[in-house]
Amino acid sequence: MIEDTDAHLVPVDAARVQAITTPDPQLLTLFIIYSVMATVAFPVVMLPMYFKYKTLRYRFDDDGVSVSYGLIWRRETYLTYARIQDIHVTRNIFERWLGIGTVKIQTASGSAAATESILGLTQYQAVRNYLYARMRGHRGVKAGAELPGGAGTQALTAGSDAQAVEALTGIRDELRAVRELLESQRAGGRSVAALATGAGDVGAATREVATPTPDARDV
Amino acid sequence: MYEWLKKLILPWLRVEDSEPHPPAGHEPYERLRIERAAPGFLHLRMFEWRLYAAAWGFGVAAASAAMLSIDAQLLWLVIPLVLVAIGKAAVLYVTMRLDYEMRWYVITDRSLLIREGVWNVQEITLTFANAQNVRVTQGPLERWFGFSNVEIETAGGGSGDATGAGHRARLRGLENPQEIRSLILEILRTHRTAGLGDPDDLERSRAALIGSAVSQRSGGAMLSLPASVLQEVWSEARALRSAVQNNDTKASA
Repeated sequence: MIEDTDAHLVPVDAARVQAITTPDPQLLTLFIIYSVMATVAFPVVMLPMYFKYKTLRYRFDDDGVSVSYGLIWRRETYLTYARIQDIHVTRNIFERWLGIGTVKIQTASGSAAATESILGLTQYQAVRNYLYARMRGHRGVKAGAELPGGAGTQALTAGSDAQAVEALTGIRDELRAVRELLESQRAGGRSVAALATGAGDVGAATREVATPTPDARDV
Repeated sequence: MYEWLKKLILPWLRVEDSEPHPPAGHEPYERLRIERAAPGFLHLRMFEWRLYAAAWGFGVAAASAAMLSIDAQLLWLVIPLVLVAIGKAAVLYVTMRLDYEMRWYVITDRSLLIREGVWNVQEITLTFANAQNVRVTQGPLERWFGFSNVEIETAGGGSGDATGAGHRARLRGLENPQEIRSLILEILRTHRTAGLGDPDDLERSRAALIGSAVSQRSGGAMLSLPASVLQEVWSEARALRSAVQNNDTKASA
């Protein structure tokens, strides 16, 4: 399906993560446990949690993740991967028993609480790796070949190297031709006509360089 | 005793003893450093446990004595109370030791991964590109037990709690905080941006990369192609000039 080009060596199954749209049913069990712990407040706690579970939707796309929930008051948060500051994977003892985990995403926001929590994930590790592979700076500055935005820098410098070599070789050849021209001209008489024939021998490219050289024209 | 207790309690905690690993999708890394909490950290936790056990034991003993002095029949209530107290202390002992054993920090050239906690297992992942500052902290008890903490903060407000939530990653119980600190600062130096998602990050890092590539070339032992060609061009130009000069002097003569 979608090939993950960001995660290298340890492949992150992007397709598998992007297929996640709802929390695991065990999240409801977790909510029931939390509500039971609230004892007398059980209905008060349970009702919003139930609706949150029922309406919770995740959408992982190429640029960010969207988390939406709410029955009456709806909210949808969209976080861009590139803006993620840190990722917390938390699993309390109930979540561990239920085999789920929470991935909390922090952006540079004004509160200490997680900007968005992705609750009830069975593939919390895969999601963490997926997000990490898209975070700013995970590729490092030195790893040139893997900079975002198409061509890697390794390729970039290699490309400019090749161009530089090509240009420099060209300049060298031109200069050499000019010198050879001058030398041959000196050997075969010092007339302007000889310069013209000499230039004709060496070729058009030489003339282009030879003409603007003031010393050569003065001869 | 501890091993036996651990075997008894660990399945209930359902906490897997994972080996330190860098974040996936990350290799190859130039640097990989795995740190664990220092023994001093365990000593502090054990000290805390003793304080707790002493306070709890004193309370339970006082309550039991009071109950038994009222009525010897209350023994059936005292026994479970004592058992619960012992069980709680034992569980706390095991979890505190597990907290020390299962805590690890992985520092790579790009990212930091912290694993901590027993009741609430937490893994914090952040990239150094987002790090804002590094801090070394040490409390009086921590000084006594000979360890410090290194904190790395990312951008954003709010006061973080002890677990490291809220823009703060905490490497607790390090014996060599200065070494870790300078290691992190060295890594931070390679990231030339502010870590605030600057739009021109890419351009700048590219420029920096090319600059470093050039400096590596000229400084390196291997004289690469462009430099040697440049030298050829230079010598050609010199030869050309002298040739032209010769011509000039001969023509005017």
